[in-house]
Amino acid sequence: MLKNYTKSQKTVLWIVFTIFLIYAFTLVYPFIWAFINSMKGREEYAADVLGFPSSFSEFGHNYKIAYEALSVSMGNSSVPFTGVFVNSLLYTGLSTFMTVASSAVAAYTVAKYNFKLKGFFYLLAIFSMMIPLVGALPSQYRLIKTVLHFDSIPGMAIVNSGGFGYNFIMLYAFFKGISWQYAEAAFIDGASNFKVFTKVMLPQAKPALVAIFITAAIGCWNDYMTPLLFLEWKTPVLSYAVYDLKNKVGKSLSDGEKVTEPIFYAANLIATVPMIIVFSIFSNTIIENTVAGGLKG
Amino acid sequence: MNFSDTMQTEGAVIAAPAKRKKRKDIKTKIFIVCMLAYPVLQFLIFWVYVNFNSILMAFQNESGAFDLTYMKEFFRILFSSNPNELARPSIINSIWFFLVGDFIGLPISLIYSYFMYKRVPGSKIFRVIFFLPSIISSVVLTSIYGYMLSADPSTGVINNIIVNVFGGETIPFLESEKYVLGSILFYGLWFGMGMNILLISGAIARIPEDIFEYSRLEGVGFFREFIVIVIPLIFDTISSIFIMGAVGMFTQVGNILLLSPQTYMHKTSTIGYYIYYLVQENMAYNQAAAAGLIFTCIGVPIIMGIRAIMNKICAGIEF
Repeated sequence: MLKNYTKSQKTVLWIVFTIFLIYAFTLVYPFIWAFINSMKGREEYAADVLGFPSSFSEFGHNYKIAYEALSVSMGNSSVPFTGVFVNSLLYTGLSTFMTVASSAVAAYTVAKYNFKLKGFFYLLAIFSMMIPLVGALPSQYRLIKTVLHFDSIPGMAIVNSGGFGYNFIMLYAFFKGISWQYAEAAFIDGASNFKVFTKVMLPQAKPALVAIFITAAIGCWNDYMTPLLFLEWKTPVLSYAVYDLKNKVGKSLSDGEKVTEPIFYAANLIATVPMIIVFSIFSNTIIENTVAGGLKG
Repeated sequence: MNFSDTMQTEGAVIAAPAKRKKRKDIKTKIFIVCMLAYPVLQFLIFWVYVNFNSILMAFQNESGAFDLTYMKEFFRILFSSNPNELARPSIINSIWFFLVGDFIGLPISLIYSYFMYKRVPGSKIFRVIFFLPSIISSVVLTSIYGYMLSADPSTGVINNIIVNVFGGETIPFLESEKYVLGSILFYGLWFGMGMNILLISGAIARIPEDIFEYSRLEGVGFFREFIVIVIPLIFDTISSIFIMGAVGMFTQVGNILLLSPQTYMHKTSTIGYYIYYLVQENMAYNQAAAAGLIFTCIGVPIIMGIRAIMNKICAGIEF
């Protein structure tokens, strides 16, 4: 494995390996620790935060209460975990689809067609990413909440569907790299611009689109700020429910069950599972395509 | 067929491809307009209008009349000696986030990425693990991190180790003015390197293999190769990440909101959090817009300056 290296270089690489191992452990350990403690009762947890649970009798109970604790209530209105989960799926699915679609059409057009404002659009994407326009939140808040009344899942999907951001830059690089000869061949066969885009170019950009879709979906699923500001308790998503759960630790739920730290960890892990599954399936696609796409200023 | 008929027929033959081309050009123009219509409209409403309106709001009162009260108020707060005002500490803390991210986090990410490229044993698995915090909700990450750092050794694993293994005294990482900012900075640094490592690894992987092969044959060591070959050749990517870090100095909200106790906000607040606080907690929209406009006026020249310097440094690097 390290055959091309000198003896001193091998030593350096093994030292780096040890550092990597320690760093990797510190990144993974919090989840292992949370998982171990999510199986304990409150007393056992307080008595020994580092040890393994003496039995697994609390496991089912903790996860059942965690499931209930992830519901969001405000006054008489309550959204159960299943509702919160469905909201998350809808918010993530719709927002991701719209932002990737919007970025893909913009990036393809700017990358592959010659027109007067071509350079301007590319600069616009770079500019909007690089310039810190700090005070937009109050204006955005007022526009979404009081003018457009977009504080709903479809509304926020439109707000999130910007076509000139990070996804644009990544997709622009991919489309730029695809040969135009395929399109020319299709044009000779009588294909329209739209057909060339959907039948010739999009299939070639599929790996990049999948990677960007998954990355955007992960970002959307984990986004708590937008739901916190605009969707709130009326249309709660999972990240909002986890944020809300912090305030429930030490308090009792409607059925009298107390939300303890182990239950809190169990709830956090439940919220993490969907993304771990997605990442396990698509980790190679995400990593390889992010690596291949690159970022240049 | 007379002479004029012949001319007409030939003219039609010559005109046909020109007409077809013209029709094709029109179709292409329509296609471009249709493709860009939605993204441009979305951008005009949610970026251009929002930011333009934000500038107007900075010079208005709640009823929409022209009023400089909030601008003056912000400058008063900025130069106020009241330790509970968030504006001044927000600027100082934001600079801390920038310095730690760009001058500690970025060099570490560079070194990690370089050795990842050098195929450290297990580099593929490490790459996935290092990226893991980027796919997990920061609400979940900060919650677990917060509990791990708890000052109570019966619930906080770090203090449990400090007390029971090393026999030391508990350190209130997130529960004291002294440590809270450092703990949040450390969190951002430790869990925030995954994406940078991935982007830098990609940039290093695009350097032609021949260059590394040549340096190997010349007997160039890791250090020299890293400094003389890798850094200059991936400087455009480094520059982008550096600039994004500088932009983050003005927009960073999340870690403060999720990790800092309300009582220590005057120690941890950042520019981004300050704006959030004015909007969400105080509903002071115009005041937030005024503060935002001033911060933008400070931020834009800084970022543009950094970008110009970075572009100057990496000008002429081609491979």
